[in-house]
Amino acid sequence: MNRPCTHQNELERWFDGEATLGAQLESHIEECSSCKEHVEFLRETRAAIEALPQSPEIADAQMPAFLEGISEGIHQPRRRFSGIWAMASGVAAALIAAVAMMSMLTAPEAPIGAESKVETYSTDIEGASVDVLGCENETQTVWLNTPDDREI
Amino acid sequence: MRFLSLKILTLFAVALVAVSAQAQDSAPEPVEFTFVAIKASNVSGVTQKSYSKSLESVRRDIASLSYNTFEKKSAYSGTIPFDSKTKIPIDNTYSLIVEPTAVDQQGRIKLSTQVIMKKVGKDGKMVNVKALDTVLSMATGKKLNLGGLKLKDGGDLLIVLSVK
Repeated sequence: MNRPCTHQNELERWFDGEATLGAQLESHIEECSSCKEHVEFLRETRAAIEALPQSPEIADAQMPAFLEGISEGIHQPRRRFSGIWAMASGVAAALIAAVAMMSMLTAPEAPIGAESKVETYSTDIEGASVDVLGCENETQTVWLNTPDDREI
Repeated sequence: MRFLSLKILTLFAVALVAVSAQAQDSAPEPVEFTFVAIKASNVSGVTQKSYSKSLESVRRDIASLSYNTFEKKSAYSGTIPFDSKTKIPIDNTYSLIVEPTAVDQQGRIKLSTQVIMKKVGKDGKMVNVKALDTVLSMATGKKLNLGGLKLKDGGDLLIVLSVK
């Protein structure tokens, strides 16, 4: 890049519309490569800025309504839906916790696979004995062995 | 608002704990108890095991026993309270006394069971004798049998027990 020319400030004022392009400056631009480059740079920059998306402009007629909307947003209280939803979520969470706790605290159901079994057995019949019959996967039977065929 | 929700949740939790504690302290629910009393015998000439029609529900539970003929004598189905003896007659000789006493960690019901037999004592008077005295851990839907009890008219008495 060339060294900046001393006319560049003057050039920028002309480019921004703050000054007129005098004959002397015009002939200088034709001769000064640095000023030529600078003018080109300013044009490219302006073109790039103009190509940026423009935010919508609020017309003067719309301005009172726009300001009124902002004022309403500031001064009106927030609607309470968020609080209701928070409470509803809390109650739902509490219900889930309640169901879980109740299922933990209630008497357990016999799990699948739990088998019935004989804990203790005896008889008061004189001379008789008691056994437990039944293999695995069979229903167990508490069996009274009487000393003779007909006890009763 | 947040504080109100927190208060409601706290109250709810406290109430829940109180209800749960009360549920734990209270007695267990009465037990649905069922038995089927069967006359089991070996009839000469019978080659295949035969069951009376009303024994379909317990057929699998008695099939392995060494009899060829099974006839239903009586049956009972009802609720019995915890920690209380319930006496149920089976026939003129035998009666059953059952008492649920606890629920074990696997959910099985501990059932104190006695088969009481009326018999003529040495002095000629009728006396009650504990023919069988057992403690059973009964799982829901898993049966247990009592057997070998002699019947006056021949054959043996089988009792198939179950709880819900």
